[in-house]
Amino acid sequence: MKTYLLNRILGSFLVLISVLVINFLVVNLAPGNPVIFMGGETGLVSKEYMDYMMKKWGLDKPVHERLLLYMYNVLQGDLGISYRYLEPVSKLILERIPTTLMITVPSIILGFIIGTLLATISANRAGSILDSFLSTFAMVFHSVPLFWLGIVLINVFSVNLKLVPATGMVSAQLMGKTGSFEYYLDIVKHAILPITTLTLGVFPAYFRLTKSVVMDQLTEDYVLTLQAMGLPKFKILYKHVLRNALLPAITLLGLQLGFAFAGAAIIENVFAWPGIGGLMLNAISARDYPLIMGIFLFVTTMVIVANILVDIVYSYLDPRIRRG
Amino acid sequence: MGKTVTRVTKVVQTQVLMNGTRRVGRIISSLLNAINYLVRDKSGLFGLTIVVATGVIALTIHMWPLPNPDAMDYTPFLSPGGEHLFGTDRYGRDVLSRVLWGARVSISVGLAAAFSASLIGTIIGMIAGTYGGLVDTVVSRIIEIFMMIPTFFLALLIAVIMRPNVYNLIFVVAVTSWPTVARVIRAQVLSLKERLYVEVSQAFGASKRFIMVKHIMPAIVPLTLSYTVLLVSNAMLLEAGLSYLGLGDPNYPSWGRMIYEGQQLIFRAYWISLFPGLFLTINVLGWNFLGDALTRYLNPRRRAY
Amino acid sequence: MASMGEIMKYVKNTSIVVIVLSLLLAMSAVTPIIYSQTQTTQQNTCPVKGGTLVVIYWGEPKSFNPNSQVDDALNGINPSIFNRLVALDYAYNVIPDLAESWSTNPNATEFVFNLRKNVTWHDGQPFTCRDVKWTFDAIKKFKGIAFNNLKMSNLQDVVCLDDYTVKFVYNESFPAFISFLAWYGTWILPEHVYNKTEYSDWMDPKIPALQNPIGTGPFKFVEYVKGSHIVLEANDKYFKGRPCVDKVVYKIVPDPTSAEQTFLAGEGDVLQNAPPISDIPMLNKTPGIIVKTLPTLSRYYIGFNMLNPLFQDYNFRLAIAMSIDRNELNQKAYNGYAFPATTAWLPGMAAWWNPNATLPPYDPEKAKQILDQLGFKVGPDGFRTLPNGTSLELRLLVFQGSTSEAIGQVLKEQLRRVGLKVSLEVYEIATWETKVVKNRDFDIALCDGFHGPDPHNMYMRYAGFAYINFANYSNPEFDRLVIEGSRAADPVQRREIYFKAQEIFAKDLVYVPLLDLPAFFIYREGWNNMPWDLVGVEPINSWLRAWFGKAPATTTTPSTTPTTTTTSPTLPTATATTPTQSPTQATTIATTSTPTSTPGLDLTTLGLAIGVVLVVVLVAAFFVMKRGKK
Repeated sequence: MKTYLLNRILGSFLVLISVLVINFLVVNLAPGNPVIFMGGETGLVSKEYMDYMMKKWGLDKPVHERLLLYMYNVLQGDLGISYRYLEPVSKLILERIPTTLMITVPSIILGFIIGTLLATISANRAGSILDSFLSTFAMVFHSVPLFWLGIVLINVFSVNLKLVPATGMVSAQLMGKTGSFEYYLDIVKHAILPITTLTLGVFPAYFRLTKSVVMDQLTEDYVLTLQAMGLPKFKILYKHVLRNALLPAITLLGLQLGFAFAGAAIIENVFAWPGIGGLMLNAISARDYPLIMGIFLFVTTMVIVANILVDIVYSYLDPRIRRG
Repeated sequence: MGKTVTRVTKVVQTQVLMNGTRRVGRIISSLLNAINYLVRDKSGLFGLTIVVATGVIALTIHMWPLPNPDAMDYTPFLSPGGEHLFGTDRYGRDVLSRVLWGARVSISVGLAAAFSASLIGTIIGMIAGTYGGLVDTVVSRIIEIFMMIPTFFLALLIAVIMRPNVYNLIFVVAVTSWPTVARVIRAQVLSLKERLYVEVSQAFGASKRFIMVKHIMPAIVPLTLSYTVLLVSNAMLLEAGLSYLGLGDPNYPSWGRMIYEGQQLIFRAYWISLFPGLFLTINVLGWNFLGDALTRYLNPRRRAY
Repeated sequence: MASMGEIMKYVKNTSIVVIVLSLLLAMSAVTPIIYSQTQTTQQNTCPVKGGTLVVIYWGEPKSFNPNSQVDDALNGINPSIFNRLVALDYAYNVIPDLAESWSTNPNATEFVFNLRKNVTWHDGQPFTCRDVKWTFDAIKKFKGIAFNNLKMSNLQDVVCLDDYTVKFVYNESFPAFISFLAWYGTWILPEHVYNKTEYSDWMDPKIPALQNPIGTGPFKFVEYVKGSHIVLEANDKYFKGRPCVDKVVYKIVPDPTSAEQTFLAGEGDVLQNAPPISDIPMLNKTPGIIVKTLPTLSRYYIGFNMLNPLFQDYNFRLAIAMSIDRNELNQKAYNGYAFPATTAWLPGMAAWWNPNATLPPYDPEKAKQILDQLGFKVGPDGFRTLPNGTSLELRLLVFQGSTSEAIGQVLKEQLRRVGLKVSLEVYEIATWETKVVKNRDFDIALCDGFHGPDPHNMYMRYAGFAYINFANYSNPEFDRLVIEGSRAADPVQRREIYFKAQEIFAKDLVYVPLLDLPAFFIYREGWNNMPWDLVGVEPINSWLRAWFGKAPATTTTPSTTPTTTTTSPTLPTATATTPTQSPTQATTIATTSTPTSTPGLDLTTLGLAIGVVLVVVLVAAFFVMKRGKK
């Protein structure tokens, strides 16, 4: 197990470096340099200003030199300073993590619970009307474009029914009153629609995965044996089958939790939720090189960590891997 | 309908076999078998119907008596009904015509992207699986990298860099989707290599290329096919997502592009984004159903449900 | 140049709207050359005090140094936090801000400003000439955004005559100085905060004021949660008196549709993220919401790539120009709210507008004729080919944004009608900039931009040597005139120069103006004394006098005719023809202005429709999925 972990970590390190290099090259290939963006929008900018800024951000150096410098800095834990916000990239990312996780984590967990539960119900009564209904339900939400769903939900629930706030994270009246109970309640209210949209988008994956695994398991010999022994069906299902069937779902959960740090760019855009996805969209359009790369690197690290954690958990749940 | 197809299958099988062109016959008969299965499987039939119907629309749309989808000849913002069944958009274009033409654009983008992705993925996955060694290590690492980075960001970044036209959209979707296919194919190849007949062939001194072409390829093709079908729906959604952020091709009426154009007008004219949204959803649904049914067909253990 | 798509566009209209007439200050008097004025500060009076003004805002500021980089998002917020020496109001007049009065010498090389004496920074330090001098020295040293506008390379010195008098000395006549001083990137910054030896420059991340700005403005900075909101609170010691409201909150919602829905859901008082224009009639009809509109000095125009030999033929350019139906553009892209451009310069700049520099009229038949004569024959696919028979496809580059893309779509269609094939390419602004301005990789490019605050803008935008002259327009006569115009101290002579330049510009047709744009002000009923109602009193985007409630008496409203003589100064013969759009009081859009056809279904119906459709899909799929065990 130890050597396995060591291998994993070494491999991850390789992955990280490749991600870093690829991103650096892709980002730097993008037409439009950040200095033009800073000054050029209105055409007011002077040649002098461009030269001054290029030099200030070190953009006048050749690409490979900048890459080496960047890698050197990253190894020292320095992600650089955002061109756009003039603040350290790490600070900008850390600021957004809570807001992003606030909508992604609940939706993934809710999606996991709802998906696996419905899948078990559906598998238990395979072929019934309920099963068909649930499967279709899951398939429809598996197929619907989430941004479209988000717009529809805003229309129906905020604009028409006025049940929940439409966009943003905090009502204007409470802005600046951090810490009060109303403040947090208000954030929760604002989070309802994005979480609902995301949950609807996430649960079909768990539903489909778990259902197919449960159905597979139900044809396994041990289930037949247990059935022959006269155990009630729901007991077999929940005590034995589900335990095995949960393994792949947990793997997916781990991976998705890793990606949860990336936020949900389009959904954040629809609901004006200030998460990492929105930060990334801004960073890309502003050609904020350090910020783009910082976010990429950060998210990739989180996914890798999540992967390793999943592996560890998995190895405890499934002895075959531990031995192998 | 199921019965007819079965009968046709039988006839074709016997005829083809009698004619002696064995290989072609086998391919045709297995195709017919698949269709036969899909037609009996109700959700497969549903998917197939949608896919075929949209395909027919996409192929024949230029012959339909519809207004030019680009012509801004009508009064803008006519609501659905009457002469314009789906209304008109802000420019005075016929939404029905655009939605139906959109089938051609969205399906082509989806199909082209899915095919290129699964082609690249299959070839790379097969090479990695068959040859093993250093090639496999490198490919696996690349796949791993793609699995670890947020691909939507990558798609976004590439889409921003390149000119937003259909070909580049196809490229973006293909580039970000091939690793999934490669991973599955590689795993499949590895498991095939353990099979007895492959091992025997190897023992008789068959070359790796021979094994790849003779034994592995035929076994892989169906899997690739079912993956391609599932990828089409993914590609269509990814295209729509990029279009929603304004990165679509403005010269063609794709459904994603139409949602993007219409979502800003949702108060004034819901129909501009509603109909393409519905068509997109139904189509993705159709491809998903079809893909699922195909997977079930290829994995007989799951046919029970 | 292009703003960040159209979203920024409107905001720019509402925020930077700037002008010209300022200069005219120097001309309106009988002996117009030396102008000086004194201003009696109109102290703020509030019929109702307290409350919060919530602005639904379109973008995030980059940092809080308002002079260092172009930042349209910050520019709309700046007037609440900072002040300039002089400012612009919504009628594009230059009005006093931190300077009480000013004077110019006859050559327009020296400008003296008398500063207010009762001003303190938000941290309690007094404001003096030192701050002014440091600000302009820093703009010059660190190449701030105003460097070009203020022709800093010609600025010899900024001298503090005493603590409250500052003199700018140029080595060349610069009559447009005061206009540009009231525009972008000239906010006075606190010297004591910025000028420390440990800072490398004014954008050093160590400077606390980059995140917590300190200004002299009517509101103090409280907090900025990135991507979410900015909170400001009333400055009790503001030199024009305390603001009527206690707090201003900018709620950042970048997506226009989301912003509109947030506003309709009652979560804001002012909507400063312009909604889709087609929604404006609907908003205007909604009870409790007021929509006002003002013309601006921004316009959309296209430029032909003169590096392409095709466009060097005047007749080809003429044919394209004659194929453009600006009224259709206006209806389909702007819902009829914009103003089709018929002349080389904007009528909104009344004193500098030459009504005789007209553009060729819309005449598609004539355009087809010209194209036929040039040998562009129509091929079997309905599109014209080059005279040598090879196919022709013109690449039209536009930047992202619903209006600019709409204009692109309509242009494409209009050119199709005369048989020209156009492929539309939409890029986000940074890429557009690289492709069009830097690499000249296009055939036709659509651009928009602010054409004020002074006709000197011609020099910056269209002259052969201008950075953003992307079409490579190069007419030595035009260049000579705009250079001369930038130095002419005598306003009458200056006007003649610009009139001539406009005639050449219209005749050359390298750039084709399309639409002059309006600005929309959308806010909740009950708010009074909004900046757009206070022309001549308050700068653009200043919420100092805004208050909510019912007016107890009309006398409390500050007079919209200010004590200063800044409004509508005119040259003796400037307005021979009345401009079609005169910057006056904000006008409420008539409810009858609903353009075109049927109103959409209301939202309940929409919700129902979507619900029904979903149910139908579900039921259909459900029946299909339903299958028994075999």
